[in-house]
Amino acid sequence: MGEIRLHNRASYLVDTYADTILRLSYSYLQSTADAEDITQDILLKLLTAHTEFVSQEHEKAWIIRSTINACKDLLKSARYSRVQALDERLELVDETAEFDTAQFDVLAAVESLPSTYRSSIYLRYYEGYSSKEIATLTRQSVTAVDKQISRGRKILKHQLEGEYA
Amino acid sequence: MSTYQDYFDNLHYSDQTKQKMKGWLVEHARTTHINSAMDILELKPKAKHHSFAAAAAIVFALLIGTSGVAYATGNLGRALTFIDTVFNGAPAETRVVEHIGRPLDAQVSDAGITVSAEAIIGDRSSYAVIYSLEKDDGTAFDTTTSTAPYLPYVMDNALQTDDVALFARGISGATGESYFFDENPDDNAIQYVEKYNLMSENASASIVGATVNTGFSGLLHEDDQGHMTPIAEGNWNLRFTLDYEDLSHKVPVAGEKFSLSQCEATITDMHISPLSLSFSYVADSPAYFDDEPSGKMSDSMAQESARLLDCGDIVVTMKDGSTIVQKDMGGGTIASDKSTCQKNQFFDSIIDVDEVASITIGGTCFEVSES
Repeated sequence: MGEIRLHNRASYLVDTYADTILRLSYSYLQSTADAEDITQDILLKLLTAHTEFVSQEHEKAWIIRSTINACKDLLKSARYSRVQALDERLELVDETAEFDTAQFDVLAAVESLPSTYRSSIYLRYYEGYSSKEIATLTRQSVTAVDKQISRGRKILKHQLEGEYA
Repeated sequence: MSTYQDYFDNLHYSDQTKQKMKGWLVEHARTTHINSAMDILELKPKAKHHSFAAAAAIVFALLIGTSGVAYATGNLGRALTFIDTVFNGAPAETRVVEHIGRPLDAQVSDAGITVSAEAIIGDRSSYAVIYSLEKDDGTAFDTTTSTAPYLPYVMDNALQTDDVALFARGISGATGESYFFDENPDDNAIQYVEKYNLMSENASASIVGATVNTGFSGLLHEDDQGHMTPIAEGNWNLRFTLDYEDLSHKVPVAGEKFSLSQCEATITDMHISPLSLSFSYVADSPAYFDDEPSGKMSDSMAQESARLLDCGDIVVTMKDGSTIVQKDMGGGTIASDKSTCQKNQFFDSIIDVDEVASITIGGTCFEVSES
């Protein structure tokens, strides 16, 4: 790959997918440090591999699938710690973004969900995937995905007293 | 009003971080070999499992080395083992026959498939468990494959490292790989292998004798395009004792120097087994990074870890003159003194240690004595 093309491709990948990988991996891991490592690993592989994609949707699905695999692998480590301080989470996000109290409530509620619930809710309500698509991406049955979303919504509704869910 | 959308909207990289990431990607795309690291992350059955050290392994290793996390040994380790037994019952017994652990009665049937833990082979820092899968109706699995000798199957929930077993034994982290193959085309069983590489700053830490809990939740078939098709959705939970004969063979070392990418190192210990090569060394100049207990790997830490842990190509020379080249991806453990390093490397296939003549690391040849 030529130097200009390499720069352009890296720029495209970061601008298009870095935040998606961050959000999805954070929903699994609740650690921005690990999410950042996974973002770099996934994008580097994409940058150097000779994988052909038939469409941008195909490329995005590949990224989501790879991110889920990477997160699951990381979670399997005996050394992995899920404990992360809230202020560390904020280090990575745009410093100009403003947080209000209600956002912290949502943040705390979402982060209290099991990781599978968080990721399914993220893929449904943020990325707009259908249950069937989520089932394919996460290698689960559609029934399991629907249950995770339904139960996750119930938990959020209970915790946020129906205001946000 | 805040919503999920707001929650995720606010979780994004800053422009400055994105710029840094672009630069990092370009730099590493030029120079790095990433395939092996991602092989582990993806856990796909690959025809090749070359040098395996994943970036993730470095992260975990550095966490241990710099944050001073206590090991779960001694009383805590025993307590963990006790709690595990109380909640999960007694494990299946394992007998060691001719170096190989043979779990007895570690077998479970669900969704028309019986999964059995058949054999365990290992050394002091790594092990492999071989499972067999057999259809209860006696029919055979489709063993058509374009990645021979590996079969295009994936086990859901593969490589579920057993936290209790590992921590109780003083092991602080693990990486692994898995794949399917067909040991005997004439029967209706296929075999599934999980290989683990263990990390610990504690030289005496060992997994031998630990009880492991393994749980699989589905068997999938992967086509050439990477699409997964469920073959069976079941729950195969196995619990057995990880007994095997440690096949490590000590390689005599006497403080020889060898070259890392940017400094020299002194070898302190080396073991080879049919499964893996492990060695320890002290770098001439320590890593320069501050303790980062949160686990975040800064750029400088990543560079320093690469400086100390990247040993380049490791060459195993057999007595017949043939060689096995293991590409080192820089994984390993840096101890809390920031100079002492430990590395474990799986071989791509089982090797006959008796036929190994020497091992070359960083330009220095280490002769392997007769076992």
